[in-house]
Amino acid sequence: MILRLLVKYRRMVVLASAVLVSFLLMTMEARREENLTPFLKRLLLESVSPLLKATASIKRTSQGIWDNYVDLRSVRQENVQLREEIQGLETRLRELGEARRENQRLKTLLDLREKQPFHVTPAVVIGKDATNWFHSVLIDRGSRYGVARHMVVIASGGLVGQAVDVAPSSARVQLITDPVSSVGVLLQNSRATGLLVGAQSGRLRIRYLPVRADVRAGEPVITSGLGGVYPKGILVGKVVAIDKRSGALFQEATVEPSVDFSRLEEVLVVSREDKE
Amino acid sequence: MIWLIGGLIAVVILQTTVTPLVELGRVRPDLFLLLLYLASYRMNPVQACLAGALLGLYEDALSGGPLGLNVFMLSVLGYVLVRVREELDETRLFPHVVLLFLASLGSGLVTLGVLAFFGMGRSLAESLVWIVLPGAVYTTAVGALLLFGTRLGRVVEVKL
Repeated sequence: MILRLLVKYRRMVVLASAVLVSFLLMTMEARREENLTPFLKRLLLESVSPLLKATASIKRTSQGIWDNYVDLRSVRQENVQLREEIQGLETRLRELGEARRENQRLKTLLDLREKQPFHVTPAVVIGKDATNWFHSVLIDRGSRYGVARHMVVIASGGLVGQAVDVAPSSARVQLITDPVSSVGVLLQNSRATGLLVGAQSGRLRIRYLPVRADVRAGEPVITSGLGGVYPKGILVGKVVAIDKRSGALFQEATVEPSVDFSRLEEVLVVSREDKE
Repeated sequence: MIWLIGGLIAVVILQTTVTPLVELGRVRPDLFLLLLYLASYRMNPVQACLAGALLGLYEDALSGGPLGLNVFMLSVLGYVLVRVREELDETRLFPHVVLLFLASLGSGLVTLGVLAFFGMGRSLAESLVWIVLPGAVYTTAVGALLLFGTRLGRVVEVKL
């Protein structure tokens, strides 16, 4: 009897089941139940991370070839003008190109790595968030390489965000521009503290700045170390505008991030253990 | 089923690595929705609902949203798309483009509502201006090109 009813109304049964399962998953995630949803996310992320790594590798290689081609063209133009004087320039510049740029980026990262008092793991960005609603990136390092949830991620320019979903060989990093991200920050000159929040538009705002604080445009913004996730002193960006309303208890500031999130390629994942 | 898996693999790669390169004002087309829309031409409502749930699982895993958000969205959308399209004239392109726009717009609005329901609410005006409307237009434009391309392909095939 029940089976006959299920067969008769199978369309509605399947639809209702899908809705029920999706709401159960969302409820479990909203209630931060630690078992099923992180496991499912890890499983799904892990199943596609080899594909994403391969694609990122192909993309980097083709980018290198294109950059070399562009370099080659510019070198040829220069050779026409300076053929007699600099005969070896073409070969030399061709050898440089993308390799030089990559070296510079990695060197900057390495310098940064040396300066960090914490243990850091270098990682490559292999993908970006699949929807327009959230700002996150996928990196090619996961728990197998020591990456754990809530580890801080930085780039040569400054703070990037924190690891939120960690699979064995990849992880998803929530950027500081994400609308649900919040970071405790300190204004380096005025020493005022506030809460840096992301927005849908990609703008960064500092909220809850004391109204008496002498905040000025151009002032560097660093992490305050409050909140327990981000260590103190990581550069976040600089103040570009101040919003002070009469009668308000706090003032707000707009911040330009020091990292160009649209061109993020290599990052460092900072672990909480001190470097030995 | 094999073509759906193939499409899913292609969409996972394209959505995370290629669409960021064609981002317009922080908005990218939703290729998961487009795949579901195109796939639903070959499916009955139950199959489209299950395909939507599968696509939604992967979209959720690759985004910062809660797991289940796109499972809900795409499974319901898959079911509804097939039911509505049964009423549409197959030979005319325009109603299908309008349906795709409404699907994309509806998906954005319902996402906004579900996020608010689970305590991740956004500013309505900001979300409409920055995500829902431009996202629906961009997704529809890409989808219209794909629909036009597949129809053109069919015409050429018939003539040959």
